[in-house]
This record gives sequence, C-alpha cells and structure tokens, in this order.
Amino acid sequence: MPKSLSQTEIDDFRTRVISVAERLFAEQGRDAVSMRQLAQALGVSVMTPYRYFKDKDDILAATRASGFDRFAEALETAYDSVNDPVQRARMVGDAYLKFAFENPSAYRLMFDLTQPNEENYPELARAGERARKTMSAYVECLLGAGQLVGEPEIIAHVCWAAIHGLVVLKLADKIAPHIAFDRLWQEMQRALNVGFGPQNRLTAAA
Amino acid sequence: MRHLAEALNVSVMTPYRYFSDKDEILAAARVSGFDRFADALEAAHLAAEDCAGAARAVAEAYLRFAFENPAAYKLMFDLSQPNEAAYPDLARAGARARVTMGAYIKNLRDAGLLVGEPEIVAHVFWAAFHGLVVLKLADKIAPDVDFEHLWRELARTLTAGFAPLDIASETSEPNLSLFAA
Repeated sequence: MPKSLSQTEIDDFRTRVISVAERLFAEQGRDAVSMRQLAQALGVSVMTPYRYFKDKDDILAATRASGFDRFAEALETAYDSVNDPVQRARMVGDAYLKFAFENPSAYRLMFDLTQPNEENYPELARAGERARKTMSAYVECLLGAGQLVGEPEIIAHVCWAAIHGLVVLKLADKIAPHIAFDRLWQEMQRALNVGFGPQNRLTAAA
Repeated sequence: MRHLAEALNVSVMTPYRYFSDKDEILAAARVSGFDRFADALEAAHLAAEDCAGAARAVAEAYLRFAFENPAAYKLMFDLSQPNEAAYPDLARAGARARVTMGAYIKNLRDAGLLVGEPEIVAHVFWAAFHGLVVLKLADKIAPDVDFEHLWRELARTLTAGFAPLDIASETSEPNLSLFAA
C-alpha cells in the first residue's frame, strides 16, 4: 500500500504536473505527449502521475483549467481596478495581452487547442465559462454606458477575434518587423470603439 | 523524412533526389500555399466591379481559402520556420501574399473610403480576420453565434472604424454598403 498523501502534498504535486504539462502540450501537441514522457520530465516513476490523474486527457484538462483561472483572475483584477467603462475596457485589453505574452503555452492550450470530450471535465467547463464571462463583462459595461451599441455576444466575439489574431500573429512572429506592436494595438482598439460606436450603429440600422 | 517517404509510399532515399532536407520540403509546401492563396485573392479582386465590391470579394476569398485549406493556412500564418530567409522562393511567395492582402486596403484608401497608414490598417484587418479563422478552426466560437453574421459585423465595424470622419459621422452610403450583408 502506498502511504496516503496529505492535501498539501497532493496540491503541490498537481501544481508541478500542470507547469510541466503546460510546456510539453504546447510544444508538442496533445497527441505527441505521453504519460511516460510527463513522468520523465517530472523525474518520477511512470506510475506516480496515475495516483493524481486518471490519464493524459485528465492532465490536459487540469492544465487548461488552471490557465483559464489565472487568465480570468488577471482580467478580473484589471476590471476592478477602475470604474470608468472606457478606461476599464482598456485595462482589460492590456491585461489580456500581458497574460498571453507572459504565458504563451497556457494561452495556446486555452484558445488554440481542441480537446476531445471537453465536456467530461466539469472543472474545465467551469473555468472556461469563467474566462468567457470575464472577456464579455467589459462589453456589457460599455453597452450600459452607451459607449457601444449592438448585440453583446457579437461585439464580444469580434473584439475577441481581433485581439486573439493580434496575439497569435505576434507569437508566430508574423507581424512586419517595422510595425510597432503598441501602435497596432491602439489603432485596433480605436477602430473597434468607433466602429461599434452609437453613430455607426444608427447608420447601420438605417 | 522517413514519415514523408512512408506517406508517399516511396523508399526513404527517394525524397532526397528532389529535396535536400525536411526544411526544404516545408518551405516548398508553404510556397505552394502562399501562391494558391494569392491566386485566389487576386482572382476575387479582379472579378469585382468596384473597390467596395473588391474588398468584400477578397474577404470572402480569404475565408474560403482558409476553411478549404486549413493545413496550408496554418503552415503559412501560424508556423515560424527556422531560417526562412534561406529560401528565396518562400520569401517571394510570402511577400506576394502580403501585397495581395494589402491591395484592397490601398484601393479603399485611394477611393477615400478609408483613412490611416495603409500598413497599419492592413495589419489590423488581417489580425482580426486571422483571429476569426483560427478561433473557428479550433472550434472556439460559441455555437449560437452565426459565423456569417460575425465576420460581416467584424468587417463592417473595422471599415467604419477606419472611415474618414465625414463618412463615419453621417449616414453616408459608401461606408454602409461596403460590408452590409
């Protein structure tokens, strides 16, 4: 019989697994990573991870849930840091970029990987939903203040697609080298604000 | 190289008669992707009657290419190849694809429908469309959101966002018709 583990021991080991798995899954993709390889990278026996996780997909789900939670925390903190809706949207956008560039592996696993049977992992579903809510809260806030007009879900998806595109092009090193990234980001925000602004909405509805 | 030879059903050495190594094959595959992509966008551009129609047609051609050729698309825009500069034909095809993507922005600007630095405007449009494509390919868009409606709203919003002030602020037809469904 293996000795029973304290909750702290379990949590510590799970955290270690997640940080190693994040890198391996992001670098090699889900299919190329094996439990054996994870155990090796952790410096433990092949059977040890099975005491904490059912299988590889269970580890992937826990890793992605951790990413979504950290992402949501960063965005929630930015959201709560100011009251002005326009300022708030800018803070949330900046926090989004900061998270993505400081955690590129986690970011890719969250938004660029399709995990089979995602719905079998309630923790992942909860964290993913939390992240989505955080990404649309600032849109609701701008709509409430009359700064934007339109369908909240469409606006949130358009803004998400735009910033996600910027992130993945930057991570893949595809942005022309003479273009200042900050400038690009500011112009994107400006164009989205104007484009979803009340004056353009009235025009579009006419 | 062994995997490639297997998938081609030839001996391990055969690919070496045509390519020096794996990276050269990757470069050739990406060149082919960029050229087919540019062909599709150029054809869409040429077939359109005016510059607003061209912008719409190019956007549609971009999305169609991406969804019909997801593997090529990912190799072109989502992969950083080491020593890219060592493959002149790749540099040529990549530059051609970039020029094609920027051409409709230049035309809109010349027609007075957009303002701003063409390169910045082109990058903003590109990033937004690319984001939409990769989210869709990774199945991340909420199932109740209609993709057609989403991309048209994205295009309409950015077009309005880069419109000259006199067009953006009044109920003016050109700006409206540009990406209306």
